[in-house]
Amino acid sequence: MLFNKKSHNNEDIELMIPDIQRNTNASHPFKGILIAVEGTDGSGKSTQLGLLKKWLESEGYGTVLTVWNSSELLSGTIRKGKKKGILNNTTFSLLHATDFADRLNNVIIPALKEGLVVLADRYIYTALARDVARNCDKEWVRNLYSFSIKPDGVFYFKVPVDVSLERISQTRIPNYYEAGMDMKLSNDTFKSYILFQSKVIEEYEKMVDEFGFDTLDGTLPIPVQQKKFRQIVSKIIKRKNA
Amino acid sequence: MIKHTYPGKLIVVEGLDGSGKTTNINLLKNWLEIKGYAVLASKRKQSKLIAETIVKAKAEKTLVPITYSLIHAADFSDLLNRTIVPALKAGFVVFFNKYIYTSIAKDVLRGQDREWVLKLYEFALEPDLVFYFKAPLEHALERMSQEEREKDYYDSGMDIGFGPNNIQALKNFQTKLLEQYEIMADEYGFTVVDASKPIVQQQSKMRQVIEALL
Repeated sequence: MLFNKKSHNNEDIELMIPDIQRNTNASHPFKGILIAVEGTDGSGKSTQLGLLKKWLESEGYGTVLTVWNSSELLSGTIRKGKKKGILNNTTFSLLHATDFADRLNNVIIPALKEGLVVLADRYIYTALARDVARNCDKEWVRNLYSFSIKPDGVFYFKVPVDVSLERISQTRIPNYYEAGMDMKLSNDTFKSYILFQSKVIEEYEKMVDEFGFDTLDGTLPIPVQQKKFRQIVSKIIKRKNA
Repeated sequence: MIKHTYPGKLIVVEGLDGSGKTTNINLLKNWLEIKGYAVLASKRKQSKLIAETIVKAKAEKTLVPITYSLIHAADFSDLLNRTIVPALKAGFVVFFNKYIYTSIAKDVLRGQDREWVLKLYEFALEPDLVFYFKAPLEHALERMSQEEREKDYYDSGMDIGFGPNNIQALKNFQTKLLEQYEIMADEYGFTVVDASKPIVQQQSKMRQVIEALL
């Protein structure tokens, strides 16, 4: 959000209001690089991003990691709302958008201005997939996030829904919203997870071409995925610095 | 906006602070309760979940225009879903002091694209009635200054540079807010209440309109 002086046709006041980018298809103007990973829970995207971060730093790049739903402003409120299961789809969507907007302003854009590599563990596509799977109107959600900036690369870690469930159930039971229990698809958490996350995957699949995701097969061995991930990121960095 | 089909009625009151909205809502509430209607008086920033976060963020001045806009929309959504809709379903007359029209006006003044904000609030219920308390700026400002509560950084638009100090900013911001209300009063066909008239006359007009609705 670039701050431009704008006037409200009143000579007395010069306002400092943000020049909000409404074209999410345009490249961002900052010297840093924004890389986002997307995929269902248990797709391995966080592991891959962690390894990428180590590698980038060893190559001499300054990095900043920013995780979905982690803003100082709102993550506590969201956690509370989720725990109680009281958020409807619109509130759920708006809270996550607020969280994202806060991080965009306070973390992502400042880091990009400094020329850092920003690694986003989930980006707006998470919302575009999940909120729509949760029956929010697609155009409404897209309008909601139209203040965001376009990443230099989006990596979609693709795994079948049963692999996703199997991986996360090794450490925990899916929570209420992850399983889409608010959708009343099934009273059984695991069945609900499969049904809901299948819809999320379907939405991700629709976006692959539209937004030009690089798809990585999340069922391949970790080093194999990482190698491909690094290759593509290297190209993105080269292109940007060219 | 969504047209509701609940048995209750949603009556919105808009206008500058200090235009007499709260006083009139209280009088209407009593009047309707005596007639046997169940009434809920509601306003923004009352959602249990999010209001506290807003108060804290405003005190710490951590909101920028986009987060200001979105967090208020989230607060409204939570209030709508967990308080307003259940009350309308139960057949209450719900008064809402400053509905989405105020949010839209403030967001537009904070630089948000009007179409963007209108789309953002598409999930809101269309009110059965909107009263607009039309008060001259001086009148509202005078009443505001009499109030003990001081307008904060955001309510006076200082966050976006509406003035070097609270008083100057408040005046500028409220002037612009008034313009936005006037535009919407035409656009949405608000029922205008002349806030410079005696309260008894305001009440009499509002009661007539409400009786026709009920």
